[in-house]
Amino acid sequence: MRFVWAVFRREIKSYFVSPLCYTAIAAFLGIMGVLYYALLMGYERTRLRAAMNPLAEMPGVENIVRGMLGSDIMWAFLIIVPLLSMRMLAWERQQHTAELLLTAPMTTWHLVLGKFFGAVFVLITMLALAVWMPFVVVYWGSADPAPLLSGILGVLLYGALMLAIALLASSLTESTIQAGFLTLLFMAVVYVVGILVPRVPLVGENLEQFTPGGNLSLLARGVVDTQPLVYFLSMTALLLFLTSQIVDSQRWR
Amino acid sequence: MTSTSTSASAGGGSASPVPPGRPRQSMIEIDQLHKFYGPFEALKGISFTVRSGEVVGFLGPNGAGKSTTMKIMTGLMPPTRGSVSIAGHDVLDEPLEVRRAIGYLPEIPPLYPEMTVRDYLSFAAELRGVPRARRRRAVDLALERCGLTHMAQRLVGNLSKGYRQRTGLAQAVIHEPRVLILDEPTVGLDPTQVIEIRGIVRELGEERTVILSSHVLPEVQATCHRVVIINRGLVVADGPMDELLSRESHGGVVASLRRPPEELDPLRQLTAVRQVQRLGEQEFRFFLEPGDDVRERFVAGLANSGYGLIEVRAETATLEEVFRDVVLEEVPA
Repeated sequence: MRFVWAVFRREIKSYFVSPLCYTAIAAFLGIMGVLYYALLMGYERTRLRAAMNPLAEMPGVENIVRGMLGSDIMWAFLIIVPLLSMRMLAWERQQHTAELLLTAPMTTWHLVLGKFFGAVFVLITMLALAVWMPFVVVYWGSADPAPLLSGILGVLLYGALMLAIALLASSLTESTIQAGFLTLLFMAVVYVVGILVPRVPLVGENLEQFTPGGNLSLLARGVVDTQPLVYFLSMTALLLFLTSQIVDSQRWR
Repeated sequence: MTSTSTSASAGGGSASPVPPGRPRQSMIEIDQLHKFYGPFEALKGISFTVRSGEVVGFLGPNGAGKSTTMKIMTGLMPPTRGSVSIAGHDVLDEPLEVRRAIGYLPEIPPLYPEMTVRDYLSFAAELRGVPRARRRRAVDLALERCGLTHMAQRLVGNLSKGYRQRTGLAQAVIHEPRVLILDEPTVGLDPTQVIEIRGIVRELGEERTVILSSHVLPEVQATCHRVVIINRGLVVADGPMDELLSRESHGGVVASLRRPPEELDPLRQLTAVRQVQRLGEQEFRFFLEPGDDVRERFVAGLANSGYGLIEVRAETATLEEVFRDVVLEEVPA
């Protein structure tokens, strides 16, 4: 475990002196800000319309929270996760520090976990910087805080899964640029599948629970079910395991 | 220099020195090592052994298979056939034990430019499993050994090439490894830096087993006790430095004469001379009879000969000549 800790600590130190990391954080906050603005304006319009119609019910602010922490945040990840993937395994290989890590007396699993948790830490930092937006809405809109809390958990798990995809992609190449594009490609496939699956006749609804997006919206509803938890954790673990197998197999080539 | 390093390591107390009086066991055993890259056979059955405490130079022209062999030794790459064991552990069966025993400096030092030298070495120590309580002292010792103490707070990315190489070297010795594997430690450095790095390597070699690869010959001649020369994936020479040098030695004496005779015959008549070669207008190579005091008698005779002796020196082969001979000789076509 101390090896994971060592790699993790170095990762964090290195992330927070790199322009790439700040670019990713800035991009994330920018997208979230625009999203927040758009959702607020949309809410304002429906509220005004409702105020003019005595029969209509006043809309709640839940949609804003659901939007920010549900389906829309996926698009923000499509930009920042490939950026972060550029500082993962391909980067170590490109600057020849992989030799240091791979000749240390630790297993590849330690290395993969250390790198993964380092990226997750950056993700947590980003979310911490953005979370005030839906929080403000929930607090002054007197809405139920449950969807906010479970939504944050969902975004965290969803982001971690995407970072695991990025780590896998970055283990396949020696160029950081390629790692970024490969991550983008993998994520695009996941997204397209996520969009198409619900449209499959008859079984679409049932298949949706196997997509990351489907599980994310389950959590955004405000209930922490075991199904999405098990789904995200097991998928992430599987990807990390595959990554460490890939890195090990490269040692044997 | 030497005494400071010894006392420093004794004072550091973190070393695990080989107990005195123990017979020298073999630290590196390479047996019939083969490596294919696709259809290309990079190593064609390399075997050699390095005993504890030896400093071995691993020589060969570019592309001979030096880096490949070293990567296999560190477990970065598997052999196609054959076995390598380090400190009694097989690289395939006990990779973690092997990695605990070695310090490795790759051809390109594995440095993080955004870290300070001290942070970097501290990270390397942690990765090598140096316990937290001893880490600071290990870093200080490595800094001192590699002449980096005054650079400790600098960013690695801002260091000159020579200091980067030292940082790489410091990383390789931070955990007091029993076996040090250095891949071309002085490549690309200027002559002063080369001499400094050599000095450091020589000092490090006093306490541990070192194998260093190079295609620069004076490198190996200056630092190593023994040389293993490989070419095109085969070991073409292996032996102690002086043995290898004397084997190839011409054993001649070169003399310059101000007034040489027209013919070589009068020179052949001189005391203790077996054969003479003309090298230039005034320069001759003399091959002497065997014996202990031949050179003394020869020089005395030559000085009294009236040919105007102005310079005389004994010839020993340089490693360069040995290298040229074995490498050219063994190449079939």
